[in-house]
This record gives sequence, C-alpha cells and structure tokens, in this order.
Amino acid sequence: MQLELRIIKDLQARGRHFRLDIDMRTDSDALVIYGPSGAGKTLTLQCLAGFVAPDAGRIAIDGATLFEAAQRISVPARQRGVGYVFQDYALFPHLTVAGNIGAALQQGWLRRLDDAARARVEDMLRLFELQDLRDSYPSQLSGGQRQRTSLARALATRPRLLLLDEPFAALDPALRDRMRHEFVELRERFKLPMVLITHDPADLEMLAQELVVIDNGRVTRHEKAPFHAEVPQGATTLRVIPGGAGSRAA
Amino acid sequence: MIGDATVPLLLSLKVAGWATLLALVAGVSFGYLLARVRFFGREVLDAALTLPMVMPPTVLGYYLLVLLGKRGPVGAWLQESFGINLIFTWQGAVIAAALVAFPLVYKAARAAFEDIDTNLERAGRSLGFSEAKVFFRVTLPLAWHGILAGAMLAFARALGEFGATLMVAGSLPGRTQTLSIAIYEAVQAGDDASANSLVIIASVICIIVLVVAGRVLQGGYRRAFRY
Repeated sequence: MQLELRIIKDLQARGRHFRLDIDMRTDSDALVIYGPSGAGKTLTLQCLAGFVAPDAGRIAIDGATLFEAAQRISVPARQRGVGYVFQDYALFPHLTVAGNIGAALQQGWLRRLDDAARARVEDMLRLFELQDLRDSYPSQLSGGQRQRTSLARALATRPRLLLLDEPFAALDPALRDRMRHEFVELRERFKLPMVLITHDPADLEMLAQELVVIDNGRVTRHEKAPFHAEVPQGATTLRVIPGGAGSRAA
Repeated sequence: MIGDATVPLLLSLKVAGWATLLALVAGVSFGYLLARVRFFGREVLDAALTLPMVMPPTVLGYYLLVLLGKRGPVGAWLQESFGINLIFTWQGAVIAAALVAFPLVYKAARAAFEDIDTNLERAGRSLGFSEAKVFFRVTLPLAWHGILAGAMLAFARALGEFGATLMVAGSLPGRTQTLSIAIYEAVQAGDDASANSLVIIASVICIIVLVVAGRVLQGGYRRAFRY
C-alpha cells in the first residue's frame, strides 16, 4: 500500500496552541507511528480516517485522493473504506456482539441482514472466537473480548486499510502480549495494510515494518525495519509514559 | 360523579398527548442541533428555548393570544390561507401545553445527546453508515432513555397545564375545559363533590405517570447501557 500524508492542522484550546505538521510517504503495509502522549498521533489518524479535516495538505492511498485542501476534496469517512479500531474500542453499547459486527452490513438503517451478510457475521464470530458471546452486550465483555469484537467489526466491512489507535493500551499487561500475538496471526491471514499508533515500545518490536516517530506535531524520525537497537528508548522524544495510561492527542 | 369527569379527563389526555408529541419532535430537533452544531448565538438561543420553563404561563398565554389571535401575524395568516382559527379550540390548548412542556424535552434531549461519546458516531461513519443511519442507529438509541424521561415530565406538565391553556383556549365545557380548568370551575361554583372527584383523578394520573417513568428509567433497557 502506498500512503501519502501531508497534514497541517492548527488546534487552539484554552489559550494553548498546537500545530500538527506532518509530511510523509510510505509503501509499507505495517506502519507504526510512535510518540509520547499529546504528540499528535491520534489527530493524524483521525485526519486519515476522515473524522477531522486538516487545514491544508493532501491525503492519498494508492494514488486515490482522500483529501486535498487545494482542490477542496474531502472524501467523507463513510466512503474511505478505512477501518478504525478505537483506543477504548467504541463498541455500540446498545447492540450485542453479533449486532456490533453486523451493524455495517445492513443495507438501509432498518432492514435486516441478508444471507451473505449473516454468513459474514458468522465467519467473523468464528474467526475471533466470539460464537459463545454473540448475544452478550459490550458491558458484559472482558477487555480482550471487547478488543476482538472491535477488530471483527472493523474487518467485517473488508476495509482496504486498518487504523489502530493504541489498540493494546486499555488491556492489562499480561493480556497485552497475548493479544499482540493474536493480532500478528490475524494480520497474516487478512494481509491487510495497517497503520498503528502507540507509545509502547513493545508494539514497535512486534508489529512495525516501518517506523515514524512524531513529537510535538512533527515527524522527527522515519525508518524501515530493522530499526537501530537504541531507537525505542534512546531518543529523548521516545519517553514512555509510565503506567501506560490512555494517551489522547491534543 | 365520575361520569362528569370523563369528558374533561379524556380531553386532558388528548391535549397532553398531542402536546407531548409536538414537544418531542421540536425538543429532539433543537436538542440535537444545539448539542452538535456550534454557531454564533447558540447559548442565547438555548436561553430563549428554556424561557417557557421559567416564564409565568399566563405571560406565555398572552403572547400566544397576541400571535395566534385573529389580528395576530400568525393567526391572520392561518385564517386567510387555511381558514384555521386556533383561539378557543382544543388545538389551541395543544399549542399552549406544547409550548409550556417543550423546554423539559429540549433540555433532556440536549443533555442526552451531549452525553454520547462522539467516537461511537465516528465508529459508525468509519463503518460506512450514512448520516441518517448514524442518527437512527447510534445517536437516537443511545439518547433515547434521557429523551423519554424528558417526555414523561413533559406529559405530566402538559396534563396539569392551566394558565396558558386558559388564556388561549378558554374554558368551554366539553370543548376546551381540561381537567385542571374543570377543577377551578368546580371550586368557583362551590361544587365540592365534583372538585373532590376531579382532584383525586388528577392525583392518581400523576402518580401513575411517575411510576411508569421510574419503571422506564430503571428497567433492564438502561442497565444494558452501563459499562
């Protein structure tokens, strides 16, 4: 996958000013964007998904323009074909596991699922070992089950690119490593390009083919695997926030 | 004795039902608009929409009378275009009750919409939902119990409406004389027997509404939303 990201976005909140100024290209299928809390990682991902419109720049996947400020092009999020896994998973609390996975497969907003869609939901339930939980609500699930449901929901629509916002941060440490292994297997199976953002060096080692480091709204480092040994902890910009508490971009 | 009460009772239920429906549609629309769209003068509009809750009902009734009367701007237009006259009709009572009950739905709806995690709506969009589908499949279902609570209060408020209704619709027995107005008339006429039965009926209805509202809010539906 080829990805072009040129984003300029100014944010103003309570007297504080933040400028995101990203300019990068990649042809990697496993890009990890790494940086401390508040560096602009989530904002970058939100621009790519179409939740937030940059002030200037251009976003393109495989040559198809998703956003171009100069030509006033901004493809709406629903037409971008980009799957998004939220840090807190953002599962629909009023729908069951099966309902969450099938939500995107309904044709209208009232019609029931057709046979193909129902088969797709069954496939995803089986693949993510969620068959027994199909009628459970998100509030009744464990962290790992929520994450699986969220991945299954995003993948059910066959996106061309998967975005993951700190996908392991909300899990307890023991579970985190297991879910990383599961995720690597899954990626092999789906052969789906992904962009993952994280402030956890462990995610880098396992998941990245290409690394972009963002600090204070700018790309400070961009390199392909294998990474220099000192990269994850070396640079001062790579401070890891202790405790792994949720990081939200400014 | 109860027979005397059925006419004003049914009229009250009819007026309150339609008024709640009107307040619900308008309250949800304005609640969504002010919760989601930032525009200049948003909080001024919010204050204006909340005004009916704090203003004396007689003042509201007077405004409506001026607006909807034969010489009023809206009233004259309705009369000329459609031959509709709202003053001293049960439909006029509906308008008066809806106006008084509106802020209860609006406030509840706005708070309910603002409570929703915007990432849930974004999740819908990233899954390919149209804006209409996001609203009807994500936003509205999540806001619904808050809106319903507001609608229950609005119904109770509309049922008890007195001042604005009396100003706009008067007190025509069998046509615009609602339960609360009938009580006033009975007391004025010294008809204590009628007043007693009407008062008991009104009290029972209010208790029923509160019990139902409590059931709706504490039912399993709400529990499913808790993380």
